[in-house]
Amino acid sequence: MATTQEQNIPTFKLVLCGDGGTGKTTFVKRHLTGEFEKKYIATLGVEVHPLNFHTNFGTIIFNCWDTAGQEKFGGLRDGYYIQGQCGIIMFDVTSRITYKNVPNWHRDLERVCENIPIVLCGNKVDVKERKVKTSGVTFHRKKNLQYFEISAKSNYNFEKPFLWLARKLVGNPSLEFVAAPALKPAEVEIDPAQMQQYEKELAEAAAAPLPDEEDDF
Amino acid sequence: METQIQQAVEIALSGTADPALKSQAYEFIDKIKTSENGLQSCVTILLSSSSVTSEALRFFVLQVVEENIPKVSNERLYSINNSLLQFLRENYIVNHQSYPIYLRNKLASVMATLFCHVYLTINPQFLVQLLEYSSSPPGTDIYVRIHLAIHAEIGDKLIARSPQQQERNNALKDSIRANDMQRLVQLWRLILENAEAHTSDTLTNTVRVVGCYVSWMEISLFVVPDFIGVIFSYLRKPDQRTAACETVAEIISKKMKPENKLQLLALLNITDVVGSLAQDSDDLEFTESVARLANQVGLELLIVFEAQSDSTSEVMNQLMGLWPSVLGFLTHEFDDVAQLVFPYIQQYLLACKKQKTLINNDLLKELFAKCIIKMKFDGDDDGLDDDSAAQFEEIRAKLKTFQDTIAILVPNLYLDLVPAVISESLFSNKPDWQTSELGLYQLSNFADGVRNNLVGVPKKELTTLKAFAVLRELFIQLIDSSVVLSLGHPRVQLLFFELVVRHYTFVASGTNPDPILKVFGSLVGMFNESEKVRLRSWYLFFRFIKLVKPQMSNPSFVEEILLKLQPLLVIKAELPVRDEDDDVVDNGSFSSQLYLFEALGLLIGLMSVDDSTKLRMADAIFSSLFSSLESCVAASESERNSQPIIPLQAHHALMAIGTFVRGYDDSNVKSGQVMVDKVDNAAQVVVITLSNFAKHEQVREASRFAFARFVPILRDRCTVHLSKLILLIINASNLTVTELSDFLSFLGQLVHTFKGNANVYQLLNDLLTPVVEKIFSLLKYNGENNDFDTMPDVIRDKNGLKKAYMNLLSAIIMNNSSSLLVTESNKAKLPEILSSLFEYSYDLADTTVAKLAVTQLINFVTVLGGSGGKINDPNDTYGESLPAIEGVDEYLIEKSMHLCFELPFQKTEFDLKDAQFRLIAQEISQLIKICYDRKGDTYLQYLSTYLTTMGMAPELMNDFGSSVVKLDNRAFKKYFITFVSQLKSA
Repeated sequence: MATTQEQNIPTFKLVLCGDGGTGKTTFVKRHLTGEFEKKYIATLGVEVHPLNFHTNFGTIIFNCWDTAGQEKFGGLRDGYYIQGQCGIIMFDVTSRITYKNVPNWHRDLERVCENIPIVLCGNKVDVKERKVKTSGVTFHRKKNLQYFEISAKSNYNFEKPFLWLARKLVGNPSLEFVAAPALKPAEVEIDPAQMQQYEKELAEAAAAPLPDEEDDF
Repeated sequence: METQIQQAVEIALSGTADPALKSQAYEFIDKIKTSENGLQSCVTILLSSSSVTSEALRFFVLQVVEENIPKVSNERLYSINNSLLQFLRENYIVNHQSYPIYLRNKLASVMATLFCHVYLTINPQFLVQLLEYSSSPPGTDIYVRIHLAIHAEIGDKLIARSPQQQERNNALKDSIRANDMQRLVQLWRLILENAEAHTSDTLTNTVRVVGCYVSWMEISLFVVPDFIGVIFSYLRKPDQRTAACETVAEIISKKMKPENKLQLLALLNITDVVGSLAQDSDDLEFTESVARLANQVGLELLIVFEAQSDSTSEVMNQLMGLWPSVLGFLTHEFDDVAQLVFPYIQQYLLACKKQKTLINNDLLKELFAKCIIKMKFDGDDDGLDDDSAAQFEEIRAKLKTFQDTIAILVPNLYLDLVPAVISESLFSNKPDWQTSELGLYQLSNFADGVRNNLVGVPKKELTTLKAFAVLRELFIQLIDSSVVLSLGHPRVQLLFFELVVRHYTFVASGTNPDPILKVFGSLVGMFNESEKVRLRSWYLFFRFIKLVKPQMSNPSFVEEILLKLQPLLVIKAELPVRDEDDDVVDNGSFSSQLYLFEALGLLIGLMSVDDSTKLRMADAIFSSLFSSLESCVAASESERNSQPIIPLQAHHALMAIGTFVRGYDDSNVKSGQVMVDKVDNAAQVVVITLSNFAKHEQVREASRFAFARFVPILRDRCTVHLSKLILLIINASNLTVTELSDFLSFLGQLVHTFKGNANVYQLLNDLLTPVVEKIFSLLKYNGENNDFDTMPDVIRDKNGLKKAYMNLLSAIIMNNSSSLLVTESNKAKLPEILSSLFEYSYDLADTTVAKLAVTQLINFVTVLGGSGGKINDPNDTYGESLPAIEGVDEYLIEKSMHLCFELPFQKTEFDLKDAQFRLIAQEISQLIKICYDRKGDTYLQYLSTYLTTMGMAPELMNDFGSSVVKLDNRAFKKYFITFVSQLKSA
């Protein structure tokens, strides 16, 4: 049971969705004490992980609802979104289909949780053979989402999505994390030059005109 | 049943329930979802539900119905259709207040799914029937939600769909267009016209519906003055204005002929509307929406502009009318807003490039000025947060491309404005850090611009340009002024150093670099209190010296620098620590210190003074490093072993010595005798240190590093020290496989550098056998537990060693020193060496090793094949005088012949479609050619005997033999590949 003190800490329900195998469970587990699971274990229905973050406005908790991406373990699917206050939609930059399905996840999430802040995350950017180029990710601009490229295995940009959501939820852009969350050691080394390149492309892509929808999806 | 389902749903929804219980609940839920009974139960629950039925249960039964719609028969669909309509009429409308938004949306989504499955055949009256229920406000609310959901199913282009679904959706849209379109548009218009009758949500959704459907419905139904007026009125209503912006953007981006689009835009008077909306918005979200709309309007206008030849027209007026709003957004205090109009600005500038009539100097001047304002850090930003600075840099990079494009379009504008901004920012009275930063940033850009020839003149004339003169003047003024020393902000300080390193040689070559060196040596640079700036400026100092190569003739100036930097050169090793992620990280600033040593070596080497002066300065560096090593050596054996900091300190000092000498040697100034003596002295120190720390890998590594830098200066004077070094290293009891690999490449370097040098030849002659023995013993060693051959990383390291070993052999043969292998000291090892090469060739586990081994066999056949065991290399000084090796000739030819056919034909994994094996096969073809070249007809006879015993048909064999003789190397490569692949596939 939550103690009184815990009840006073601002707590937000965060819905984590996206295709199976895109790394949602890996992502939330980076923050936890249990061993990072190398094997892929499909999530059964939903698992809830409370993640604490220390900010200059005090501690906040994201209750991360890690939902099943794979249809057959879906359980109650969009039922889990009910009363979600923010969301992360995850896709895998090494798999085009997971990006193509992002609009479906977004539509389902929006229907249940109207007008919540949502972050789109392109995971696995540590993998050299990426299939979805940074400049090819345009969905977030059509729908006003925030986009981050992350690598759960190397902790790259781990806290970015949470920071952005925290700022939106608290309504204060000057919110900062004061202590880095305790993360698992990086599993893979990220190539800083490569990341810099992606960041550059991201900046260029941000200013490029949106492609015609028909060509894109 | 209802209670059971409800329980299961609650358990499944709970994030914290017991896993076993949860698993049971899932199983039950799954049964409900997939059985007819389950479906029927859910329909029953739905129809009998009331405001007290739990929300979770209501959501679930709707979900079950929705998931079943695509799966059931037409009869069942018909009954579901009736049940749902009945539910809507009799149950929902009455209880609608107990339906929170997410349940309403879920219901709408179920109805939309149903629509997709019944509208074409089972119930074409679906929309009409629904309309009947929408006479009340709650009915209207759900009806409009259903429209949104239908659009998501059939009209939303972002959703990926199969071709079959696409086809069905097209049929549905056609059917709506034919039967219900007018009715729907009429309804939406009525809703919007009677705002007071509806809730705010209903109105917002209706506005959104219009935006969604306009893309695939007849636009003339929407674009009638009355209706448009109503839609536009929502741009002013606080609750709907954001949705209205999107809807208007959808209306104007509808695809149509340019002239029609222009007409539409004019009719809507859109630029004025955007202008007035932009005026009065204090709500950030809405401002963003208007900015997005303005951007869209601009892009549409440009499409029209580009499609129309007549440019004096209405489009120009509209574009000009739009600019004030766009510029307003560009300079908005929030960068997020500014970025929203970037696409339009970019397109506009591109259009200017293509169509010069679009260029308007006044406008571009204003745009340019606004870009510059935007490129300045905010007044309240302390500039210390790297993340937010990185974000800002991204935006600035984009603005820079605008600036650069304008420079190309109107060079004079650029050349007038930029120098003025730089001058004003840098040299005005006491600028704040943001202003100085902008000045330096623009100066760097300006230098880039001139260098990259933005204004377009022939390359050779670049430096005669007025722009170049202006740039040079600004640059020199900056260096000479005291501005630099007063730069108080780390970001500005760093930018200054980056700037001089990047542009000095182009912009200011020939000027005196002393002032810059002084700044480097000040509190602004190498002594900066900010560690980031300090360490970075050490590196930049090195880069600067390396690029500029200042030839100082004034010893006292350099000595001053040296004296000043002395405190930074003190080496104090710190043990690595583990960070919060448990990764080992190097501690201290040693790696940055090395840049200082290299820079000083270079600076001293470059000085145009006599050698004794150079010696005096070098001594100043060496002496403290030597004494540091002395105290390391003075430590007792047990101290050295128990305190890891001591060997680490020795490692650091050795690396510093090596790095300093590298810098010195890089100056490319020939060293006088006294300096050579000094380096010789250093070599001695290194050997003494190593002899005391021979079992410490890091010290061995640093010693080798240092020696590699001494060799070019000492030339063959280094041999005495070298032979000690080599023996100490190869006799180290804990020598690792990777270390030996690195060491062998060092030996290879020696062979190459001292080709033909008698002293080094003698040295190598003495050491080759012990080195080869060490290689074989390390390769053979299978670990204490006899399991190295199962460890992938050990196998990889050993393959690395094999390659390093073969590269050394290659270096020996290629540098006319093959005789080393047959001298009295080494000839006993030759058979082992040759058989190792055959062994590696046959081992295809690592194809690069196998290929390299075949290459070495080619080398050996070249120098030892076909000459009766004598060395066949006229350039090998000792080759002639050494006695022949009996039998080596036949051995090589015979074993090679077997290899050449056994490898491709007997190994099943040898697949020519794999590039790796193809490369090996090509190498084998060259081995055959070289054998023939060396032995001639004798080889052909061997060949025919061998192939006959292998059972090859005589015609094929003849063909092969004559190809060996006739074809050149290249052609035979091809032939051999075809030969192997045909025979293998047969």
